[in-house]
Amino acid sequence: MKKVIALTLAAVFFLTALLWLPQSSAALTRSDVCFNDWGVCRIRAFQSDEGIVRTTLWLTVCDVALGKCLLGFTRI
Amino acid sequence: MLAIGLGCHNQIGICRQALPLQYSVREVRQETPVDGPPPLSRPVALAYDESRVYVLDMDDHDIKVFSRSGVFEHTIGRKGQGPGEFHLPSGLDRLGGRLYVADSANRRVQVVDTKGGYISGFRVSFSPHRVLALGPDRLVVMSLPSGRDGQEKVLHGFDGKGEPLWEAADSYFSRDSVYDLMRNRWFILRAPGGEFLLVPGADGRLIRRLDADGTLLGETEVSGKYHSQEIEIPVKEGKKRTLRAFCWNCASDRERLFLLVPERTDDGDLGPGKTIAVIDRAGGLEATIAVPERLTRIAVDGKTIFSIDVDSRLRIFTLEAK
Repeated sequence: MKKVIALTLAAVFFLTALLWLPQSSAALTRSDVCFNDWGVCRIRAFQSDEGIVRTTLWLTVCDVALGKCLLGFTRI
Repeated sequence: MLAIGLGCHNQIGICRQALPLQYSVREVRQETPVDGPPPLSRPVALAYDESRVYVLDMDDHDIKVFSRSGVFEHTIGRKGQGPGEFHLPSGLDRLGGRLYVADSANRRVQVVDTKGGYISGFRVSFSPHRVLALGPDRLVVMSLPSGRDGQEKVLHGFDGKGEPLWEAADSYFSRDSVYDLMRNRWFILRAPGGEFLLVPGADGRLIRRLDADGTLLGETEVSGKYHSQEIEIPVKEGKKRTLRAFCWNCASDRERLFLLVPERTDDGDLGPGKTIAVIDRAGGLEATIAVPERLTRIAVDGKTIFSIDVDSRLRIFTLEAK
């Protein structure tokens, strides 16, 4: 009986690991992509030569887009 | 030698009490018609040598090369990640026959010759925003602070092979990344003797002078005759904060500092202006230069002003007494 439980637990553990790991690595990738996009957005805004208020608003849009990206609301 | 302020510099004591001199400019005739299609998409930095002007184009990911009279000659680089390719480059400097590029989105600094041949490059751990070559073996790279991890150093010294040597100058940090980034608008300019200047774009009027090792040599406060412009900007939680815009862009030439004065736009914002203020080594307002268009970038070589206007055109002017 103990052997069956141990085997079942081991199977569950490995299955969980197998199912979770790809998601974990995808989550890392998503985060990297989100922050890269955010960095690009900030560079473009900062060099835009729009007025100061417009640039501020543009940078705010970059931050909002970062939040949406990290929460998975945007496709990458 | 620069014509402006010559009389002034011969009588420094009198000059300090006098009103700033006023100058205008005459446009250098360009072979390419001013009303023609602009060859530049988003020019963000300028450099020059004895025979050419180099314009870094962020959106085209290249350097456009013009004659000193404004005739387009050729392009250096293209979009990519390989040697001699750029992705959203944002900083440019020229020293000797070499062009130094802050290759922002690729997170590296690249060195090419003035004909476009790749020389070298090295990766950095931050987004490089500006670059200044103090010698073939001493580079200063300015980073764009991420605003995520508290105060960050914005100046990074490297040797010619890309080995990090030192870091200096803390960024502003208040947990509001947008407000902080607007305050962290700095410029680095070459000064005589292998030194360089750190000039604030906002919220400050102290010009710092540093040596090639990043050591602070001194600070000069710019005269009160030169006014920072205040503007309310939207920040977190719907609040507003005041930003004191010091200059839109700047240049240095022969111990003088040239500040592009921000101006009000029609919609009440603060943007690029039509006035350049000339600041002497002691921080005094020596002269003002009126230009016919709003300018976003300037580089000064004696009586010649290389500039980019708000329509992304290269404009070249010669100084004249008003």
